[in-house]
Parts: sequence; structure tokens; C-alpha cells
Amino acid sequence: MTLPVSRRALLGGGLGIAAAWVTWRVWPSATEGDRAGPVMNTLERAVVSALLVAMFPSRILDLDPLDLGVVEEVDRLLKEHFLPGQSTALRALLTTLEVGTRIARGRAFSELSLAEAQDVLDVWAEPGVEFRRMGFDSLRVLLGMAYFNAADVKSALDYRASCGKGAG
Amino acid sequence: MSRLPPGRYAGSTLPRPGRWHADVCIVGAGAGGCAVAAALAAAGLNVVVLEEGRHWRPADFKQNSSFALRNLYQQRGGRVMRGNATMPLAGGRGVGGSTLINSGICFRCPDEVLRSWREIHGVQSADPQVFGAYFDRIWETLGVTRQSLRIQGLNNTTFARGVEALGLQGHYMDRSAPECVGCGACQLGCASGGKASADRTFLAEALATGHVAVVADCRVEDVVTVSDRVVSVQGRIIDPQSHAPVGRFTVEADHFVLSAGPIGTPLLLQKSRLSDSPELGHHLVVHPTSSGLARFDEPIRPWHGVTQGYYVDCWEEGYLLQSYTVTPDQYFLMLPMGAGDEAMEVMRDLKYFASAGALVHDEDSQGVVRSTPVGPDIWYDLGEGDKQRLLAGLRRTGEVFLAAGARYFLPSIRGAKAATTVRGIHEQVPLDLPVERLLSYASHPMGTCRMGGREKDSVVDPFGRVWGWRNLRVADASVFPTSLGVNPQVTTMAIGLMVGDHLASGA
Repeated sequence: MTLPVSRRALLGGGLGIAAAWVTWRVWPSATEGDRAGPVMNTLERAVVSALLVAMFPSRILDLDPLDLGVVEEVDRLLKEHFLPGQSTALRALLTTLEVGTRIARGRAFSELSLAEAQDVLDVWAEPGVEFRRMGFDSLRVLLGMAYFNAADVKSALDYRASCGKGAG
Repeated sequence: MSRLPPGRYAGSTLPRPGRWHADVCIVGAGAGGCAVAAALAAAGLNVVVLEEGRHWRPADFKQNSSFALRNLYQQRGGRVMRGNATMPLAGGRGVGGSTLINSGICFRCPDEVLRSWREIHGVQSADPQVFGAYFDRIWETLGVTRQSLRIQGLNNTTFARGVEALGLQGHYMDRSAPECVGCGACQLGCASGGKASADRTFLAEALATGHVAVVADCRVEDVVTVSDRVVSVQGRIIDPQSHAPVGRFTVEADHFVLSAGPIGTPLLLQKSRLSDSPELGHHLVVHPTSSGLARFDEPIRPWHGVTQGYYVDCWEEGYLLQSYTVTPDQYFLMLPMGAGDEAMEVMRDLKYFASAGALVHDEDSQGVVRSTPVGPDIWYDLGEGDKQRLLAGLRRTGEVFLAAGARYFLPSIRGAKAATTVRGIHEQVPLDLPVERLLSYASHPMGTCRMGGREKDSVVDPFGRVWGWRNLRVADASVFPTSLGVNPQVTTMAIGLMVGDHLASGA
């Protein structure tokens, strides 16, 4: 029988749905009962930390993303910036990356070396599998917004927007 | 039911449930809705304008992406079209709509487009003389001008240099930003107040007549009908911070105008079962866009200067080239490489890059907007012809930059490499590129409630009246029968004025 969608797409979609369910129902948010606290749980924070190190290697700008409070900024964005459904999907994506890498490579994403982590992200960035490609784009949106909004990063880029009273 | 005194209101501060009455109720305060309000108010009609987003003042805008996307964009910047290319579809949210976040680019609707609307789609109202008068009025109201070279910035002047070197016909943009200071951050909200967005021009003009109340934080969810008339719209008042519903409202009026945009308007018509036209939600066109970065030896600092200042109209080829600038996190999304050192090296040197892209006049792409139980579904498949035009425009963008002296051109195509020669550009941007490799985006939704002279193949008549209803009209870019090929805010406003004038005339 010919399926209307490819097995890879089915596998990717199934993995995503499973990860979303796990994120939602099994792994509690760190904010349960405390809306002022962080959104991400320990696992998600570990994935975000590994992603930041891989995406923004400190040797290029001589800035370590983990020293700039970017993990906390990602948490703030998940809590305040995105709509609840978007935030849940992004957290599910973090879990998918962690679990999917363990299935594919025998180790979770947060346990990989820098080169291995970058290699995984390069595979996700490839155009072949839509689910993975969109996942990579979504992670770039989330982490890029958090990282490039850091004052030290803007300064390192020589970026300065100064427009009227609202300049910040 | 009571008439609201004229003025600007935050729905969340009004007594609940809100129950208001007006001669005309306009749903949506973007380019179309604000222009309708101005036309109706000038005729002395009492108008209530409802808007889901907030009122904004220039001093409210903070210059970072997170703030802007969260507060000024539809779905907090996360609106995406599914389809063969999966691209973001930006749209504004707030009193002023997308004019809050656009670059203020002003083009009159090309005569060829108006002619096709008239001759192919039976839109007799698309008269070049009538629209010409509206365009003149818009030019005056918005204070359309070209910025001086002093504030254009190197991103625009460098692109202009390349255009001239290639012998192409380029121009500095006409923009609705008479007091622009060139801070390159239009898409974050104009904090200098230099841009003449619709809320600060047409809506301000309407408010000055004393006939108009504008209520923000109001999400219209249902349209109530009796026989062949709409009698009221209902919805929820939402908290401007959390966007959570905090109350309900109802507005009764003699006439209703939907100006919720090419995504919001068809969804409301579908949800309220106001049209059974098979055309409803179809024919979504978006001006798909793709771009690239060019590395120069000298600093460009693309964020200094006019956000989008220069263009080349390649009408015959089906695309428009435009220089533009965005914030670093947005540039990061355009990079063709994956994660790690290579991408960060580009980001480190970002001040040496200029950026521009190609916007395509969509012809063979297919788009549709559907209301589903889990929310709106926006689908857009980039057609083969449109893809090739987009790639041709991207090639030309790279050629312009090389002619301007760029070291290399980096197209926004997944996996593409830097090209240092024209031949290299053609290799990196092959016309048979698989569509999923394109890093494309769009911010000009149009169509979905197309206007036409025949009920069987359109949703509204040539004056914006929804077929089958005596007092319901649409006035936004959703009524465009086709793509424009140029930035749409002026044509959207012209449609708003035309629909408003026609309604006010009692026709």
C-alpha cells in the first residue's frame, strides 16, 4: 500500500506528538504552582544550554552564551513572549531533539560534544525532512532572539538602534 | 445600547459587557479600516472602529524584536504558511495594523493591475481616474516623500551604486515617513514618530471630525444576522498584556465593514457562515520574497539609515528588488548555513554586510485560508513560475551587489555558499532549485475575498459588498482579485476610501 505521507514524515510527526505529550503531561513545568518561576524544567534547560553553546560558539565573539544569562532569557521568552500553544510546541521540540538524538546516536543531545551537537543541528538544518527543518528554524528563532538581544552581543556586533524616545 | 462618545478607548477599561450602537461598525483598524473611517466620518456618519490590538504611541515602542513581535505582530510573529516552502507571514496587530510595522513604502497600484481587475474580473470600480484621485489624496494625507541621501544610509546607497553600475533603472522609495530620521527599525514600531502610519493619519483625521470612536482590545468572534441583513457583531474584550478574554461586547449598527485583513476577514466570514462562495479563503497571494547578504570591505552598518530605501522595478521579469535592513536576530534566520562557527563568523562581521531581496508578483502560486476546529490554517504552495522569478530576482540582487564592489554574495538558500562572481551566483542560485531550500518569507497577504463583477467567481462586488447581504462590506487587501507586484498599503487605503465613499453616498 502506498501511504500519502512518507515513513520519515510519519516517524518525525509521531516523535513530535509523543514529545509534546511527554512535555505536557509527564515532565512537569518548573512553574507549576509558581507562575513567577522558570518555565523550563531541568532537562529543557540542559538542552537549551547545549544548543546555545553549539549555535553561538564562544570563540567567535569571545562571549560565552551561558555567562550572558541567555538561558534565563529563553525561559522568559517561553513564559512571556510566545502564546501558550507556541511555548508548549517549542518545549516539545527541545524534548524531541534530546530524545531523538538519543535514539539516533545513542546519547542525548545535551550529552554530545560541541562538534557532535553542531553536526546534529546541521542535519536538522538540511531541507530534506520538513518537520526537522521547521524545528531547526524554530530553534533559531527562539535562541537567536534571546542571544542577539543581549547587550554584550549587540555591543560585540557594533549594533545600535537608536530611534526616538522608545530607544532601548 | 448606547453611542460611545467620540474618542480612543481601550476596551478593557470600558464598562462590561460593552453594548454600543453606531451608524457604521468597522472591524479592524489597519490601512483599510482607517481609510474607511476617514471617508465615513467626513460624510458625517457615526462610526465605531473595533480593533483586537492596542493603541500605540511612538514613545511606547522599544527597539528589540521580542517586544515588537510580542506586541505588534499577529500570533506574536509566529504566523506561518504551510505548504511546499513553509514561510513566515508577517502581519501587524494594533490600531494602525500592518502600517505600524511596515517600512512605509508607497506605490500606486500599477495601471496594468487595475486594468486586469476591470477587464478580467469585472471590477468596474477599478477605474484609473477614480483610483488616481484616491492615490493623490493618500499621498497628501500620508505626506509621502523621498528621504534625503543624508539619512538613507550605506545599505541603500550601496545598493543604488550597484544598480547604477549595472545600468538598471532604480529609484529611492516614496515613503509615508515624512519625518523619518533613518534609524532602520520600522519593523519594530516607529519610535521616532517619523512614520505616518494609518492610526496617525487617516484615523486621526476621522477622530478629528468628532464622529468616530475607536475601541481597542476587542476581538470580534461572531456576526449576527436577520434575513439578509447583519444586525450586530459580538466578541470578547481581551487583556492587552495576556491577550486573555476579560469580557464581552456587542455592537449594533446599520452597516458593517470588515477590515480585518486577508487572513482575519475570510476567517470571520467562514466562522459566521456569511458566504458560501467557493472563492472565499482562496486565491491567497503574498508577494513571496527572498533575499541575500553581501560582504563589503568597508563597514556598511545596515541598521543605520532608512529601513527600505531603494528599489528596482523589474515588472517585465515579474519581480521587484528592494534593499532592506532587519535586526541581528532576523539576519541570523536568513543565513544559509546551519549552526556553529560559519554562521557566527558572518554574524560577527555583520556590520560589513548589506542586504536586499526580490519580491515576486505571484502568478501561479496557490494559497488558501481555512478556519479549522484548532484555529486558522494558512496554506501556500509556491508555483514553479513564481519560484523561478524569485530565483531570477535573487540572482539579480547578487549581481547588483557584486557590481557595487561586494567581496561576495550570500543568498538565503539552505546550504548555499558565498558567491564571488556572477557565474558563482548562478551556480548557487540555480533556477531548478528544490523549493524547500529557499529561505523565503512574506508580509503582503492579499486576495481571499476577491472582488468581482460576477457572484459566481467572487466574494464581494466591485464596491466591497458581500454578495447576498444588504449591509455588509469588506474593505481591506483581501478584496484584491490578484497580486499587485508592489507594496500594497496605498492600494489597501484606496480600497478603503472607495468603499467608504460608496457607502456614504447611500448607493
